[in-house]
Amino acid sequence: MSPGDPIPSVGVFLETSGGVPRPALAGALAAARGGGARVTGLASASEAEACASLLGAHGGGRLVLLTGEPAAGEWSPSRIAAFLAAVVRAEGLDWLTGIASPLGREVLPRAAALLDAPLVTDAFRFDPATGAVRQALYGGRVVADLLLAARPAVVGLRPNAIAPAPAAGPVERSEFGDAVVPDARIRLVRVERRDRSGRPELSEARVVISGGRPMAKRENFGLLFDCASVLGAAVGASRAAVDAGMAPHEMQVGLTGKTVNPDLYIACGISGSVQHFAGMKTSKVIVAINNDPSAPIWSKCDYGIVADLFTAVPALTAALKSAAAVAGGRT
Amino acid sequence: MKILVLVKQVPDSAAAIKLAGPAAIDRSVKAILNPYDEIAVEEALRIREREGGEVVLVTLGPPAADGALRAGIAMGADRGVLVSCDLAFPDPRFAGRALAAAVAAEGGADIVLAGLRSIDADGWQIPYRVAAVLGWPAVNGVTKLELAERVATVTREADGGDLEVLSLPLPCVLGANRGLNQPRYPKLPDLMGAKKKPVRVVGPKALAGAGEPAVLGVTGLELPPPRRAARVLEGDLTVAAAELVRLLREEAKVL
Repeated sequence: MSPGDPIPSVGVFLETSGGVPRPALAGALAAARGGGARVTGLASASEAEACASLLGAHGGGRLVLLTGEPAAGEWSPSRIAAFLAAVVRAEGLDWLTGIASPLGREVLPRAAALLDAPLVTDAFRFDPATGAVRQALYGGRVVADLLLAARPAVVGLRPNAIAPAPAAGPVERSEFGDAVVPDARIRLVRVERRDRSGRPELSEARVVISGGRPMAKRENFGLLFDCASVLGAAVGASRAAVDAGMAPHEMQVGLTGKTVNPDLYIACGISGSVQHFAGMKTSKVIVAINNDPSAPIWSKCDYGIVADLFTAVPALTAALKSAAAVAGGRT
Repeated sequence: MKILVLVKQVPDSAAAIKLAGPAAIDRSVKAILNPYDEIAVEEALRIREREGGEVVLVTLGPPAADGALRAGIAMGADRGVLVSCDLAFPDPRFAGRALAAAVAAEGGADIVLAGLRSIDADGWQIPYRVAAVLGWPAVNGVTKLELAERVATVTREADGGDLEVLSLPLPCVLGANRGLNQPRYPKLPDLMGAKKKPVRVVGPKALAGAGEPAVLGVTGLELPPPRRAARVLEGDLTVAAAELVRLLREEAKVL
């Protein structure tokens, strides 16, 4: 912050998916406004309307829009990182934040390196006025408080960790594009699309249902996908299931996979290793479905059913459907 | 082909971490080579097997971080460089500069490999920081790597699970993700032999451009609170499942 200006300025990368701002940005904007900080949203001009309405519904602020068309073969994360760093420099922002999504974990560290700024990649508490940041270390086995003294500094915020604080506010737009120079040495050759069929992104999902080695084969994950459809959940897998070829690596939850932070985590046939818990231990509620009464997960979950997952998961799916039908009948 | 691999020693992923004061952990905990760095070492060895050359491991850490170098040498790396720095929480900006200075002091490299992230600090940033100092391009999270005519063609998982295929010229920095390969297990003779391979210890002050050692401002550490005892449902599955849904709705309020 500039001398004599006690109000910190916070840039928030407004990440979108399919033209829609990430739901977890509501919490990120609440954190960014902490202590009366001035918020600047950073977004692509092609998504200006959606981002302006998000910002306007969460306190308002400036909205700096990345204009111009990417060159052929340009790789979008390189362009976004260059944009974020250039705006932080040009505007003299104290903080750059965003959500610790897969894209956030790519562009925020890249921008931090361009700015030679300190970085906390996956914070679950952030106060821009004091510089206090809280994060997990050692796979969630330790919680660390940090005080970031240097400015600018970069903070990725864990999805769902900070409660949104909706409040209407004015949005002032401006455009920015000329000073953005992506690393042209990195060329995008092609993209191999994978159909996720409208399921929520694992790291951002409010409900996650995961399967372990007892799932036995890839086709059996259909049981979890059926349950996930009723719950609006993302589906995850343990390392053992991924290593056995039952699920692709991008579904892996744990120390060497994704970190999730849902309201509800349902672990099916997962013993509850330290490594798996590193990826999901901050879940608000953990449910275990396991037929091994001596598995370590029983000392680390909130609710559980001791039963074979091949009968218990369909029973849960049926119970969820009938509960939804009852609730639907009431309204 | 000269391949430098940035490695880090981390506490064993299954070990209980104990605190030793308000902002320090008990460092007697069992240590391992960061699992993502194992993947980077394995990839370096495979490149050397195909193209010839040398695999040099570089780490930043206390004297005990020699263990990470020996673990990678046991896998097959030629030698190691230990940039000595006995700070519990080194500032990643300093770590990036020091590691880049060590790469430069080695006379550069064709490729610098690193892990996607370390499982202790979990910052996902060292590949970019080292590349920024060296002025090289970097891609992190690589799950496939091909080299031809001094161009690296890499695959990485993008947002939403799509796969992106990128190309970038050598020299470059690449961060290895799970899926790139299955790291080999060293055999006992390799583990014994690793003790005899050369490891050069160098202080950051001896490296041009490493800068002053600096810490990240950790003000406090605590262990997360234990969860309360689980509510375990048994008996008839239809009844148990309905009761679980009721509890999730009415007691936990997450549905």
